[in-house]
Amino acid sequence: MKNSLYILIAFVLGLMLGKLFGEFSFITYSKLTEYILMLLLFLVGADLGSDKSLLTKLRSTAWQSAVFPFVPLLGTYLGCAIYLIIFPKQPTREVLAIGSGLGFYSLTGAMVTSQSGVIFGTLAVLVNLIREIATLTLAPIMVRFFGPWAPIATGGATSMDTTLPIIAKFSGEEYALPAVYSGVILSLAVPLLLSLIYLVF
Amino acid sequence: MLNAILFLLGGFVVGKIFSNKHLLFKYLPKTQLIVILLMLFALGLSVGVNQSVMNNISQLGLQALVIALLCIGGSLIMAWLFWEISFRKKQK
Repeated sequence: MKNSLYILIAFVLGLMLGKLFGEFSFITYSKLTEYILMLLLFLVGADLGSDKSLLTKLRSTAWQSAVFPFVPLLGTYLGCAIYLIIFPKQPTREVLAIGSGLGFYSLTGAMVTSQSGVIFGTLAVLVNLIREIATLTLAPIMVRFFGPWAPIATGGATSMDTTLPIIAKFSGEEYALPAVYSGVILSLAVPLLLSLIYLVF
Repeated sequence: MLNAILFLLGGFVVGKIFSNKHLLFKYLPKTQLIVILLMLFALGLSVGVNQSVMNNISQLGLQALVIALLCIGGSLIMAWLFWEISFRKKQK
């Protein structure tokens, strides 16, 4: 619980300093973030590698892991449906497309921009970025109230890389591989879902 | 994201080789938390300097927040149901 607060403070502090002082001269912040992420993934890997009971733990969640990718998918469309019920004037196609990003904001932003224009494209980036940031900052609280699968569900497509270290830390390292699996499946699903939505609606 | 998988695998191999022999593994959880905080700080920086995101936050931000929170809420509820169902099955 306390960790969520620390993580949130670290993020907001970065946000304010970034806005105030602008870009560093010798490395871009997004590159810096990526390098730190790689270091973190290495640490998660080391943690998994040094755990001798990993296989037993994996076996105990095998069938859950296999079907899990449907959970974030259903949950996300449930959220979109509620949004469309509250705001019936909003375009169904665009809202569904934005939701289908499942946290994959770069690809979704690009695809929605090309199909629905820059306003919806920006909205798609923001929604999916918020999704990633919420998972990163609130994971300890999510695990506490909704169980270990919660940050994997909210992380969506990002649970294979960006949000993986946080999931491994707060859900437990035995959830790291299910998270990678779910993230890979959902990342592959995002472009397919987007194409399908623009084809059908 | 091939890099991500490679680093994960690299770490796994190193972890496998050195296992519990190494004192460093005792400090792994703490180190992870510190590096997580660093990453979030860097992520904050990269979002903070992004003009197109920061400029649109006031106009589209609220709408984005509502959609995002509903998607997150839906996912949380489904994840909770999933956990309850699978946990009960395991108890039997």
